[in-house]
Amino acid sequence: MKQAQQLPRPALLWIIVAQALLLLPHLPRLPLWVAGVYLLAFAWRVQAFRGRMELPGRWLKVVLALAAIAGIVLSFGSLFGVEPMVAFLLTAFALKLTEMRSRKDAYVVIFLGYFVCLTEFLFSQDLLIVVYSLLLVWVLTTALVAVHRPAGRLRDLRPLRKAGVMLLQAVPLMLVLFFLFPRIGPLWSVPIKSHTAQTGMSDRLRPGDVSRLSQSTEVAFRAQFDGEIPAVSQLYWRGMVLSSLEDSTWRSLRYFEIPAQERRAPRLDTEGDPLRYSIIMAPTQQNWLFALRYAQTARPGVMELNDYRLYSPAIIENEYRYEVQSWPDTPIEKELSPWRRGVETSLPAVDNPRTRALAGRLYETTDTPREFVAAVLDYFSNESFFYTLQPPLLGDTDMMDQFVFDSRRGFCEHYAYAFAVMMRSAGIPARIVGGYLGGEINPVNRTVIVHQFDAHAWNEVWLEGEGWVRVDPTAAVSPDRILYGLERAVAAEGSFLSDSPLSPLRYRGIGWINSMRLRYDALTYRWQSWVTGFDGQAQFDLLRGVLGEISVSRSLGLLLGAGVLTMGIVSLFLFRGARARRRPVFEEELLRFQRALWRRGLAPIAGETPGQLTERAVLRWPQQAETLRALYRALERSVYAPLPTSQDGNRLRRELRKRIRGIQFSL
Amino acid sequence: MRQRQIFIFPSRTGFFFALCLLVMLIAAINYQNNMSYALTFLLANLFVVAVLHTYANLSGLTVTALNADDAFAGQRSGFHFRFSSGGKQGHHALLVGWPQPKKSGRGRRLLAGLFSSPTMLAEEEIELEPDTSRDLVLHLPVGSRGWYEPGRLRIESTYPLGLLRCWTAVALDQRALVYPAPLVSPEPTSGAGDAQDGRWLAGAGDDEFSGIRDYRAGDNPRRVYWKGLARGQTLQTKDYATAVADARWLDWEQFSGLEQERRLAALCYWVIDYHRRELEFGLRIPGTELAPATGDRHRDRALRALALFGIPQEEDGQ
Amino acid sequence: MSPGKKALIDAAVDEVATVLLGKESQLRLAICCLLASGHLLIEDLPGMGKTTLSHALAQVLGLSYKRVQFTSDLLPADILGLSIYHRNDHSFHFHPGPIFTQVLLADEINRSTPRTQSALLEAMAEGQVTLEGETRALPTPFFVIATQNPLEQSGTYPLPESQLDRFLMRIELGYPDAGAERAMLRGSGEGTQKRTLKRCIDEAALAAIRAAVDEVHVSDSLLDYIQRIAARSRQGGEFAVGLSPRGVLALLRSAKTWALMDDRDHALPDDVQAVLPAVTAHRLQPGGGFSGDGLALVALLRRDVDVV
Repeated sequence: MKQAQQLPRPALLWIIVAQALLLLPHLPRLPLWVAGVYLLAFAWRVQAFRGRMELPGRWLKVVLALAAIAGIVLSFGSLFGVEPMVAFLLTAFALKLTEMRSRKDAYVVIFLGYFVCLTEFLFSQDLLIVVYSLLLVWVLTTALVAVHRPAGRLRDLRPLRKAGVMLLQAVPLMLVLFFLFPRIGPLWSVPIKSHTAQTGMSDRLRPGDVSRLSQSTEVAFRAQFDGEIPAVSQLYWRGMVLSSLEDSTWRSLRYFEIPAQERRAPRLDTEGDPLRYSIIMAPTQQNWLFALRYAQTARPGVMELNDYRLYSPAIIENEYRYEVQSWPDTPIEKELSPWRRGVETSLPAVDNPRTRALAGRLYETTDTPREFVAAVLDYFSNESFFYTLQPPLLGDTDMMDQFVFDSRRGFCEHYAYAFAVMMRSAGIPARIVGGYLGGEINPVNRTVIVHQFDAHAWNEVWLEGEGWVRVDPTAAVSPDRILYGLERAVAAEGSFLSDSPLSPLRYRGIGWINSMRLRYDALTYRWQSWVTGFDGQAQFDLLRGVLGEISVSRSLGLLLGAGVLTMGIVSLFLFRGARARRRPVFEEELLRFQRALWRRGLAPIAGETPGQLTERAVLRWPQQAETLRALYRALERSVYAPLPTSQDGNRLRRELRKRIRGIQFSL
Repeated sequence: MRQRQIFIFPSRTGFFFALCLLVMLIAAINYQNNMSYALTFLLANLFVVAVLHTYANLSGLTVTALNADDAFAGQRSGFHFRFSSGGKQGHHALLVGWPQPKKSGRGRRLLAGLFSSPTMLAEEEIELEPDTSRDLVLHLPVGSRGWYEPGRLRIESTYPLGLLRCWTAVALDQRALVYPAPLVSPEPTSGAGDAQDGRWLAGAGDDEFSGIRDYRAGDNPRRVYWKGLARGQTLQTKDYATAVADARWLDWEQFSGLEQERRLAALCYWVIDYHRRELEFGLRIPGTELAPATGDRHRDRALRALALFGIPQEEDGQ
Repeated sequence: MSPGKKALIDAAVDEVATVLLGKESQLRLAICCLLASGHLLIEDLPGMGKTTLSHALAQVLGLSYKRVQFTSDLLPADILGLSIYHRNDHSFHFHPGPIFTQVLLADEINRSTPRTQSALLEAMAEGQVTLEGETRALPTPFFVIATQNPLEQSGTYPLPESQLDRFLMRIELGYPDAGAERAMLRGSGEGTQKRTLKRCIDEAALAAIRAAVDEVHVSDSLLDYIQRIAARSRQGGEFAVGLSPRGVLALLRSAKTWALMDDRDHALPDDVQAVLPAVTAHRLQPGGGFSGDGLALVALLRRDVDVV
């Protein structure tokens, strides 16, 4: 192997650093042994570096690679999917470390590193992750530069600077490309992230599900209103509607359970100005979208289902942005179809006998369904029910009997569950709605931040002439929850976010932490709405705004313009050194003359004087002899003869340049 | 060599990188992932920026051909260069050498030149800091006797990212003098007292009266011009023409049995031998005659005459 | 400048060319050297016309001329002159040597001993002669044309480098080309040594020309070029000795004179290149490993140094 092809030690060091940094954010997703493989490879490499061990031979490498593949299949059950792919890449990455000798190997590892960097984005496009990845790209590029530096000082930081400068220079055009590149749909279906847990509300609800969610400080979505933000207590973000109760679990209706003619909801007549807002949702790996009722969206592809919620046919895998209009006062489904009435009043045959009996007793004391609703709520508020984040575990059978008569301690889903059962047992259509209640208003950018701990469950009851009416039994037990949010409601208990001691949300009382948190959140929102949530629609709007109209020629023009501008600036920066020597007056013009002749095929000869060059030119283009000689004489005088004081230097310069261009043109 | 053409083209690594970028772009499209788009575009533009940086790494470099060492046929000659960087731009990882001559046609060579660098003879890698200069010696096997011109010097670099290959061929007017390879042969008959040589000496120099010269330390006291001293002149020495008579002659005719190149080779051997033994010798080959003398310069002159025998001389610079 | 100067110089060149056939470029260099107030060294084999040239130069310039054949027994006094005791008036009388002339041909200067050589060179440099405590000025103008046999032969004393530097130019005459040789054989040059050449430039004109040399404009660009040449000669393994500051000055002055001879009021790189071999070849020493003489070094300078 040529000495020039060997991998310099500093480059190796940079690659090892880059690998470690690459591995880090992926660690939680990977089986532990992948990290083990990396450590092993690293140790091996270090020993080889110090000359204590040989790098592995070819057969050993084949065995190792096969073992890695087997390990991945064992850990994930398959080789397909994003996580196994990432695991495979990282394992290959680690193993490559042990066979890196030449520059070629380094290229493979570094390019692989860029790709691993990309896979990180499939999991999160959070601002922090992006900043981290940028750092990674920097280190990887530094390694690439270091590959071309002489071996020697390990602490040579110049590659770092060079890589940084080059990346910075690449940024402007990257931005233009980013905003101009057409966002087309997937070319083919790709393996989904099978092993990522679904987050947030699910379409099945058992007592305890929501209270578990309440421990999470993650952001579910952010909403930005065009106008005034409605009162937080009115922000019931509907997500899923749970109409079917089976085995003590509420779930929404399956698509095939709905008769064909009822699958789509008719658009309702709306009155007055709607609330306009946009929402950027964190990926949930599920299909439903959150909105205030009654919601319509113009976003193509989003369905409005028969229970008046928004549904995306594609699973939400990335940050998802949509614009919504809501008319909170519009009655929903004034006329109830017989099928619907049947579904919304059905209960398992024998279940919770004591609760049903209680409902029956209460129903008899009232005249109208509305009064019955009030009576049930009164029951919750008058009896000694407690709102708590730590409800006792309930047995599997007759769950509500245990709750209503024995424990009487519950979270929102307990009350919603009990309420729905009592309504249905009296023959009144009722269902549970899952979603989020309220949110935190960020004063920095006036967005409503809805966290997972804002998860909530409430009821809708169908009343004659009014349609579906929202009833929140939790409000009867703990009005604070509705008015001030969960934190205040469970303050006495100290259970709020008891599982996340480090979350900045716990320190909302401390001014500067809170203000920093909110500022960062505003930044994230901006980031999401401009960058990670940038899609075909947003692109269309932006380009129309910038270009006036969208056409290929204008887009190309913008791209070219930006390209030329960037390259120009970079060139200026790069070649400024070459212009450092200040030339005596008019020498530049003499050089132009030489170049002009050269462009026409007359190469200069070393050590030739301009006069000799001119004579050679005359030999070559005899018909231009006069012009050439005259121009030469003018140039000669301007460079070597004293300039008459009366002469205007700049004018002479312009004139000379014009003549040079002219002669280049005429030859 | 301020002005020369610089070529730039993606290297194999560059094509591989482009392929990687394509895969990344497909991943970005399929996963509809904006940050992946961003990363892909960033790297793509890194490639574009690298074009300028790779070009800049070679531009502004000044190469000056210094001397070329003389060599005997079949040996290596050292070609001396000075690389200097004007301005604030350093030049890194420059591969310098001569491409091995190839037999394929010009068109194919051009195409192959785009995609891979030629095998280099006498390759060296150098680094140049801004505003400095460095001297480099490249050793190249030289051909047969006469002038050896190494052809265009190729300077190539893939710095900083290895994605692009930038090269230039500098035509430097540089040539090495190649002496004949010395050939061991019987010593020619010549030496002191050879009548022919003596006659020649008398005819060639108008040196019949050597005269009196200033005394130099070490002169034989018998030769001091005492009479002059007695007349009040400075100390002087009588100079005798016979002092030069024991010079040896290397003559073309002495090796008449050999064909031309072997004659030159044999003469070459004896020039070196006499010089090593610090003998005074003259050289006579058709067209050239060197009067007897000693010293390094005399040897060089003799070897040069042998090297250039029968080669038309163009006087450079005149 | 007045248009007459170029005509005068051209006439002088033409006049000398009638006796020295086919040597116009060397002739111009020689005249350039004299006009630049420098001393000239002609290095060539005997019989190439060195004497003819120097004598002719003196004649067309209308200057007094003396020739000294240097031999190994030539003493300093043979050149400078000496004081002789006159019995009549019982005093010493100074008998000036041949050096008291305007043009001195020092023929085969490397044949004499270093002592004699240095006596001459000292006089050349100072323009005066100091003998027995008495300083006597040499006439003006004062030119020395020295000739030297290039062959290194025994019994010669090559001029040391420091002495060579005192000559503004060194030229070689070389063999005449075939045409000139044929013309000479036909007799057009025959007997010319005896013919008296016409005086072309009188003393006043000569003084005017020498003054005009100082007026020739030299731009920054040209100074850069000359400096680059000097810098190149001081670096690189080929040069054991680079151009001295005196050498650089000589180059500049010669280039200016050359420009004047071409009827220009400003000097060009072409002028520098024209006088470059004559002015610098004898001042440069090749370094170890460089197989070439001073002229080869000059070729390097010419080739390697960018004009602009």
